[in-house]
Amino acid sequence: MRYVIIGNSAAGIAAAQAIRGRDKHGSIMILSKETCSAYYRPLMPLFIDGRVSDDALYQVLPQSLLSTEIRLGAEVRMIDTECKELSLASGEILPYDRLLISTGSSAQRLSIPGLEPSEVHVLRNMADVEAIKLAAEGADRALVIGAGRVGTKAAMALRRRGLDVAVVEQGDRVVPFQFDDKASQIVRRGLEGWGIQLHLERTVRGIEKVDGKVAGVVLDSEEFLKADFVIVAVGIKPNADLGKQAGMLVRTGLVTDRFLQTTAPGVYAAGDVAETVDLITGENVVPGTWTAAVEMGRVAGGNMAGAKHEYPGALPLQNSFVIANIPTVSIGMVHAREGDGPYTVVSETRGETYRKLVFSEKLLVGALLVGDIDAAGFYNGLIKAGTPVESSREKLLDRRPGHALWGRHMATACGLGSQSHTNFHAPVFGHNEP
Amino acid sequence: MKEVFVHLDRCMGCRSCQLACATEHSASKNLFQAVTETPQPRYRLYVERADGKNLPITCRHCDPAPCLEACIAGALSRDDKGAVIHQESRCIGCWSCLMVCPYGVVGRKQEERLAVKCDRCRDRDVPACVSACPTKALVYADPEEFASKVRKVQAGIIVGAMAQHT
Repeated sequence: MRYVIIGNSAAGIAAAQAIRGRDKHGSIMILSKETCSAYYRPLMPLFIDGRVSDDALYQVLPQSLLSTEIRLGAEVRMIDTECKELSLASGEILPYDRLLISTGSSAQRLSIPGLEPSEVHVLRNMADVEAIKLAAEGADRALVIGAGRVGTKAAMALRRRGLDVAVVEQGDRVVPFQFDDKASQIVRRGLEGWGIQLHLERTVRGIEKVDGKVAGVVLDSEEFLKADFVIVAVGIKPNADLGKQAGMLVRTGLVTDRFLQTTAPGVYAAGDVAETVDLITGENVVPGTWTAAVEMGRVAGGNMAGAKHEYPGALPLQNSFVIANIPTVSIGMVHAREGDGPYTVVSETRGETYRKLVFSEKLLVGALLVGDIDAAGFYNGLIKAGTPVESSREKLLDRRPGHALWGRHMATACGLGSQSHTNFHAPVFGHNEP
Repeated sequence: MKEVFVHLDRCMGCRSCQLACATEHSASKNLFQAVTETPQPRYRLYVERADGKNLPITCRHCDPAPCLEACIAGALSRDDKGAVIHQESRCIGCWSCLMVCPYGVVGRKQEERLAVKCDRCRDRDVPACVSACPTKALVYADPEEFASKVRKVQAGIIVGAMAQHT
């Protein structure tokens, strides 16, 4: 069996491991468009400020992948699903029996009048992060457009390097995708405490240049912000073109079935490029998190090698994110408000900590924790397993649901009560045989 | 491969396991010195009490392991004995592992901003928690061997019950 994987990151590597776990002899080839070996993309902001070294940025491949052929700098031009062949940019033709598309996503770009694409930085690939490091050397001021996860992380990294940093965001709050108003306010104060200037509800209207070099930007409020370089962080889009050209169904991402197969037989998709279902709502979603990419890669890889594992879906929002030294966790439906449809909310604010749980009838469907992330794993488990919550909601929110509650839910989860968590290997507790 | 099992009916909730765990993972590996160490040694299993029962909650070293799959820094890996091992030098304290562990057994070393979890005491033949348990509520055994013992006990109970009825 010839397995080919396009993309050398979270999903692709997890898939290769899963394939090797089931098929000891098949040939596995991973193709990477990038010329560097696999790295941990989420660590890139920490690489900018030097908190993560060169070594720690790169992945250490497990022993089981020693026999995998990894081709760097190999760009795929076309997939021929009829003949089961790939053509590379070099002109080479590669046959496959099973194919995984794990091409990830690209940074969205903005068109700003007067600014060439080459003058704007994004933060997505190794080349991007190297370019940002270079731009930051000798620079005094940086401007970041977009106050999402990547934008705020990049801003913090540059701030830690000692630059003056301004962030322009068109929405009315920071990290809008994963924080509600209250959470955003706490994080906003944190960022401002670090000396980052936030310009919310503003857009960049134009650019000012001196001697052909970027000198600053003009906002829609006519305000002028000095900047030596500009980073755009306004979201990502799945790299689904290869699949689309080959005739696979694409909505936001490459559409997959419950076995993570695309609409082309023998071709699977995983990671940021793949569209699956929301574990809670059942709606179509492109999860775009590292965790989901690894899970999907593992499931898709197993299925490529003959397993029939169903992927239950992903949480589009499942993030643990430390920003301005504030730990935060956002899982599931964090934006729901009391009285919206079937939702009820319990929350608690103590100074700069904020904890909020969202229920849909008896099910926990969202958890937003800022400043105090205790029991995050417990909430995540309840949300993913869909275990009904019988106990007091306020108690569940308590800093240590530990004691009685955690124990009770654990007992349920481990099969002492109703069966759930079946996907966990849990040969625990004498009463319950492995 | 051996794993840590729990006999729920034998746990008295004495927390000797927690103490032994923290001591084993201290710099001195000696209880009397360990209590004075900074940062304080952390234990990696948790005895909780619910509905009148004691519940020692241990790391299952799940396969697939949610913590391992969530780690964005490559700090978690599986060793040749099947245990999920945490490598401090690669940990960035993002708490992704903590967020996805449904058993709540990934802890935090707040001072150092590092995650901390069970390593099944790599340097020992038998994990410290198991050795310390006075009632043998914690058992370190091969799943097959453990299951067969459970079957034997159950068989004894069934035979005993049958004998009473005849």
